[in-house]
Amino acid sequence: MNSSSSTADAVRHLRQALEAIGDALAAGHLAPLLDGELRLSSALAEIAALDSGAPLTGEQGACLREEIAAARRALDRVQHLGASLTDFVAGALAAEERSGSYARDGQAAILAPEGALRARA
Amino acid sequence: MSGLFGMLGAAARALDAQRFGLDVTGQNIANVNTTGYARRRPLLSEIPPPDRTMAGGGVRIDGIAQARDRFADRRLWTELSGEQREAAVADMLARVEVALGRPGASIDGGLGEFFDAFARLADEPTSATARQEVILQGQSLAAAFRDMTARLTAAQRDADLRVAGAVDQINELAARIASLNTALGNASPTSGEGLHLRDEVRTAVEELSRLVAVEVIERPDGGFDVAVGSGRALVIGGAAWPLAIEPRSGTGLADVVAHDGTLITGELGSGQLGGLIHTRDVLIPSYQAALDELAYSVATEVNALHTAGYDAAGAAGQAFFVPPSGVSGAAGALAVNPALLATGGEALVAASGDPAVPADNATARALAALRDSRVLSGGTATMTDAWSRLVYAVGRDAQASREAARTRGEIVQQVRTLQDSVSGVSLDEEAANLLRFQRAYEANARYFRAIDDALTTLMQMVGV
Repeated sequence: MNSSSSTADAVRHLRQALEAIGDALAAGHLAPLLDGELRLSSALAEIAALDSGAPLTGEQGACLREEIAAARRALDRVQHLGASLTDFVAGALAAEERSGSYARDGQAAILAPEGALRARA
Repeated sequence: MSGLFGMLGAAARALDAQRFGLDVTGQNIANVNTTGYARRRPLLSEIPPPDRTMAGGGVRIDGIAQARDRFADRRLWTELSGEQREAAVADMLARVEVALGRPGASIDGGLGEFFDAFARLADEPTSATARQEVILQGQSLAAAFRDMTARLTAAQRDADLRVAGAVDQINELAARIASLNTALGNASPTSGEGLHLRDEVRTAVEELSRLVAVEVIERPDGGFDVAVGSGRALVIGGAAWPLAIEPRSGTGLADVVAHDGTLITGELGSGQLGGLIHTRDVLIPSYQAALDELAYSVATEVNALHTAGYDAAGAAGQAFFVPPSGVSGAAGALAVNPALLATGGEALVAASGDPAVPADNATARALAALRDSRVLSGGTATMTDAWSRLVYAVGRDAQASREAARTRGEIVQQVRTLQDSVSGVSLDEEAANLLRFQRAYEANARYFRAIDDALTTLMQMVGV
């Protein structure tokens, strides 16, 4: 395997790791999200070990460009979904803190943010 | 001690309360798939005992409460606006992509045929047929540029019509929200009617958020005050302040005006309306500008070589294309010089580089070689390259919008899923799960900067 194709492979592995994390975030699945750390770590190690001075032919360059663009899109998607998750968790926790004994007396948790807003007002 | 009638009364009230609870549950089950319906629960309270020697007076029905998560509602509306913006851009750009035509069968094909005709003329510089072919291909190329301009203009007009349509829909929804606000002001907040109105007004706000990004302030009675753009009031209580459309001077495109007469087209960045405005005012004009630049270059470069050559009679060549007055509008005005189109005009085609030698082909060769000359983008692109870049730019923008719409759509789904997962369970338990989920994400997020840096380095390596 030559150096340029291994570069594209390494980026492909990174992209696949990011896409798996994006899918896990979108579906709310914890196990694949936990696996993501290992996959990302190994994909980054693979990229770090590449020979950066290796020349690329036009076709290999185009293939690599496509993989990089796809990896960038996957990263954007993961960051968007992650930001949304973080916001949601922050809101839910703020609601829980502000709503006192709510949620311990068996009522629907979904009322908690409403309680928090009332407490804030 | 309660008397017999007191005990019977308490039991009857308890039965009423349970029946009421069952009614509410039935209503929830019946509306499980109703858009905008929020789960309801009965509000019951104890009737206190009149004195400490008595157990109590039973249970009383206070009304109905709704299970609503205002935080998630707001998040949902924001994400819906973003998703619809990208979807509107992607939808409009799909039309532009179709308008650009297939590779080799559009402007690029016309350019190829045009320069091929000059190459054939170079082979037979005195051939009247070859000269006529050059003129025909020139006409065909000019017509392709004019058609393309017309298609881009049509796409822009289409977006413009949709802008006007979206403003009408926004005004209808604003009027509906205002009328629901009025009704909510007159309804009891714990009555079935009041809760139904709350569902209705939320549904209307959700529909509105698809069209335009909204700032929403909830009223104490459950209604909403709504603003758009930079805090321009659209609904305040029972009053709607409709947006208006004004034709833009010069282009006639629709500008959006707030109730106080302020032009707010530039403030409406999100929602379907924001996407349409962005496509109409930014993207399509940028493609048109690139097309104009290409047409201008074709006309000026061809004319420069053609006027430096000599026609069949040994006279100095005339402009092949009507000289453009400027870059702007060059594609829509591109046309072959009418003198060449008149009877016998083919003799005016300049193929020779020497006035004394009509059979010379130096000019025809130079014109044929223009195909491979890097005359655009500061000497870095041929004419065909410039066309490919325009096609690529449209494809890239369309792809980016589709990706963004997909991501936003996923976030909308994610918010709805999280909303559902929280509903009806203990928040303590759910918060613990959410925290685990968030921790797992944060563990991965530690790598994102490194990934970003690695991708940037790789992109520099391959020259993206």
